Amino acid sequence: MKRPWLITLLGLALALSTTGVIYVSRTAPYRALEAACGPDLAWIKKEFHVAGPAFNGVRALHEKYTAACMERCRQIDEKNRALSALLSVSTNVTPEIEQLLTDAAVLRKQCHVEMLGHFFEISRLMAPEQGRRYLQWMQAQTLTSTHSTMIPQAGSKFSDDARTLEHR
Amino acid sequence: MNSEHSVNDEDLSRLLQSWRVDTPLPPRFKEGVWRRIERENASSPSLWQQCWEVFVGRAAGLLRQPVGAATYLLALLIAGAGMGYWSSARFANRTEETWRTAYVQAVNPYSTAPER
Repeated sequence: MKRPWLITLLGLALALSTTGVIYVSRTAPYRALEAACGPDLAWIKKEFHVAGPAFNGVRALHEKYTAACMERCRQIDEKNRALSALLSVSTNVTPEIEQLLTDAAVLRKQCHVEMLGHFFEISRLMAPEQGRRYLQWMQAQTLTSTHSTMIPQAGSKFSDDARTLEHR
Repeated sequence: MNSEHSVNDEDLSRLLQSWRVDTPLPPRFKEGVWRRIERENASSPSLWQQCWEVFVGRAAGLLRQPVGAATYLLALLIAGAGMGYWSSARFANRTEETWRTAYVQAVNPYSTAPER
């Protein structure tokens, strides 16, 4: 009766080790790539097949851009904090508030311009077809309407209130 | 010949009828018999146990044969390989999703989760 049990255990050990070997060997490239590039650049490298000097260029541009981006975010946050402080003591839109809103909008516009410029620069380092794909995908991710959540949907409280106001 | 047989049968019959057992039964013999019957019924395996024993017996029989053992090992090897492929594919999908999100959020702090 021992031999069948030994064969049973051997089979289970074989299944487990096969699972482990295949899993480790197929996931190793992902772990290696993430360790080498970080998760953000790993995606660029794999998805758009960027390698060698082109990837070094992408990495340099990305690091330069993200550093500048953080600085712009800091400036925008500063404006928002100042605006928040003013709004807490104001009862109408003062010239100072207007100026802060303008400054914050200018910074955000600059941010968008830099971001799009960065996308174009990155796409130029890729193969033409990959660069086009990259631009299309990034533009879809970053230029979707930010006002879609402000438009009342049918059946929502806000659309019902709006209809009530119209009929008065 | 027939008459000899019939005479012998009658003698045998008379002898058997004359046999009497005088030894008394042990005390509470009948009670003991019923108790044993009850014990046997109580300890008899349930349906699941019987099915399991049949299964184990047949499996052991198959595994004792070289063809059966080889088939079993091959089946588990294939199952293990399938499991390895499936789980690594899931890992790859999840990882790429994480990477994609990380990149979009790195270049656009105002972004929400990226669409595929």
